[in-house]
Amino acid sequence: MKILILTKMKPGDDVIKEMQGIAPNAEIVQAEDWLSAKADIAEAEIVITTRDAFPAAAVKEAKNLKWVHSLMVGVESFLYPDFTQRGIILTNPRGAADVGVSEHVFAMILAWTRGMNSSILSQKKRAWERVPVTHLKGKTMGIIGLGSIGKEIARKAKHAFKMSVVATKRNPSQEENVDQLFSSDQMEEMLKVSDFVVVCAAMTDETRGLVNEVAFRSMKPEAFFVNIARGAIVDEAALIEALQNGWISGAGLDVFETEPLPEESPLWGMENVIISPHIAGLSGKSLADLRIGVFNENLKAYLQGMKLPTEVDKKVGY
Amino acid sequence: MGSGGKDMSNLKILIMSKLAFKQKHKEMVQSKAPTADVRMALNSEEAGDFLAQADIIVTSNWDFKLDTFQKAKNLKWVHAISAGVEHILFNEMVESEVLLSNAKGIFDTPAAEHTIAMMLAFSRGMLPIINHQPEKNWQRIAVSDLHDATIGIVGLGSIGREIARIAKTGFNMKVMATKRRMTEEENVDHLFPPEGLPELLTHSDYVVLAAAVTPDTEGLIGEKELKMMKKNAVLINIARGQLIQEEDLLKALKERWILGAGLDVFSKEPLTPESPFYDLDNVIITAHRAGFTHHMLNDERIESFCDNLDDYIHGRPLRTIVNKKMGY
Repeated sequence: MKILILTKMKPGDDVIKEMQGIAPNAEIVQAEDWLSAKADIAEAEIVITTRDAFPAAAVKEAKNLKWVHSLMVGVESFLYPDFTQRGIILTNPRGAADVGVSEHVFAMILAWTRGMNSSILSQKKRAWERVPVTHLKGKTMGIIGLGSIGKEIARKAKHAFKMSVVATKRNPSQEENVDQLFSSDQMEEMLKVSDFVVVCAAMTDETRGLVNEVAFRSMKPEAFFVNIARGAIVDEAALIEALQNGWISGAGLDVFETEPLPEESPLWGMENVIISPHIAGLSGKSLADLRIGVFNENLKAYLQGMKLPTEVDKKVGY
Repeated sequence: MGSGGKDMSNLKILIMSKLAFKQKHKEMVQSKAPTADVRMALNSEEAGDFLAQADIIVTSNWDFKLDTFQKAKNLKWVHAISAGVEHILFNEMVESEVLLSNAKGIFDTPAAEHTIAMMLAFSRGMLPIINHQPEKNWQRIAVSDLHDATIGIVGLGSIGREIARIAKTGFNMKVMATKRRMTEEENVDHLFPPEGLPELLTHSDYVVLAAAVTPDTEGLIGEKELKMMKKNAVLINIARGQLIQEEDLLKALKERWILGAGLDVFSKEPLTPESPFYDLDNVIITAHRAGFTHHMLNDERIESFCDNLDDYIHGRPLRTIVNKKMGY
């Protein structure tokens, strides 16, 4: 079995080693562009690549091709007729950011509940201050937009921290780790019961300005609000009003309507706000390694003849 | 009447603590032992003559001194409302027949959450982020993952076990720990006896101190141990300041033998404004907050005593008894 990694991205040694460990008999080859790797393309059973690196003409030459792993999540323009006609499997790297983002969410929430932000400011003043603290166990985590990141947050909340979990989802179905699922138009019902509210929704026409004044007024006064999705999903003026008027107790914000957050924003000066500079999606690993890491998970399933976890439904496009 | 020939019908129970226990706490105890004489006092002076009569004293690590012990002539059992009992373990107490139990278990959740909060504060750059905010500084910083990193827990008691559980099930970390007696541990990948400490230190990305202070563990972490740690490792102490040789730790942090430290406890508390720990930019200091939550846990402290009282009355071993020789 030949696996061709066809991209200008530079994967690290560890992730390649991991791949070889999963498929000891595979021949793993790396190339930057397809014209210089025609022989490998003709033999490859699996190609890890992007749309730009692997044009339709190259797919035609890939006679043994059974599976393409896209290094980009969006694959609409990658769905050449060859994929459907020849039944080539297509996977994408969705979920690659789950670990980093979910850890960032808990870093912000726990910084708030354990008084890390006020302690760090006390420390600057060389003051020993017994700041207020609380715990997560038994409290309710509310997730707006239960996609793959939201599910990982739900899993951590439920299993590790023994919280109750509520969430909104466009098509509410049974979900592991979620105690109560709400449809998108029941969001305010969910907000009323949540001690923590985390925005995880994708940015679409429907979600633009979704979290508005009505939403903030529905939240508990002790609620802590977190946005790690996109700034435009939240009405920032309403958020500022909510923080100033005590409609909510605090916020952890990684994304904003305008980035970098302008100096004149009153959010900078609020002691009940933790601002991080759009880094929730970062991880200790490079993007290439994270995305090939998702490939490696798929490879395990592929070798066992199981359904690939991030296979793209070619009719729907995701 | 309980077992062992002890007369349980007129037990005298003294709740003696600076913490403001309320009438309802007295009633909780009374309902477990309806015929007992239960009294509350802030200190031994206030307890008066009752001190000499008390069979059982419920007190804290800081409120029970040798002179109190000597006045309590009828004493059979001391229940500490803290997890640590190092101040109660003076020689006379250790050598006596008096039982000692503690409130272990009730601090597990807040202490474990505080530990994970400190680890994430380092991995997700919360220290620079929070320090940058007043300067309106949008500076992106490097982050790392807890996922797949190694945590080493020094002293796997009930708090350490809860830390291990969250690290393993929530964050997919590799978990190492040291413990005096070897046991089957669900969420620990490598369990070492105390002599395995060097192995734990050399492999861990996060070293968490969760041990009790005993003659064996006092000053456990000094120059030699700090030099064994990885250069990018973080040391977290939520147990007791006395576990660390602080001069050595200051040097280690200044000279970057390790990446940083999250410190909730110190050998002398409160830290004074002159403390050199405040000069460091790779330390997160919290003011002995780890075991706490939004309330003082007074209900939980008394519940924990009541559970033990139930054991005592029915002649069972106390569920959170302390081995006085071992110190926990």
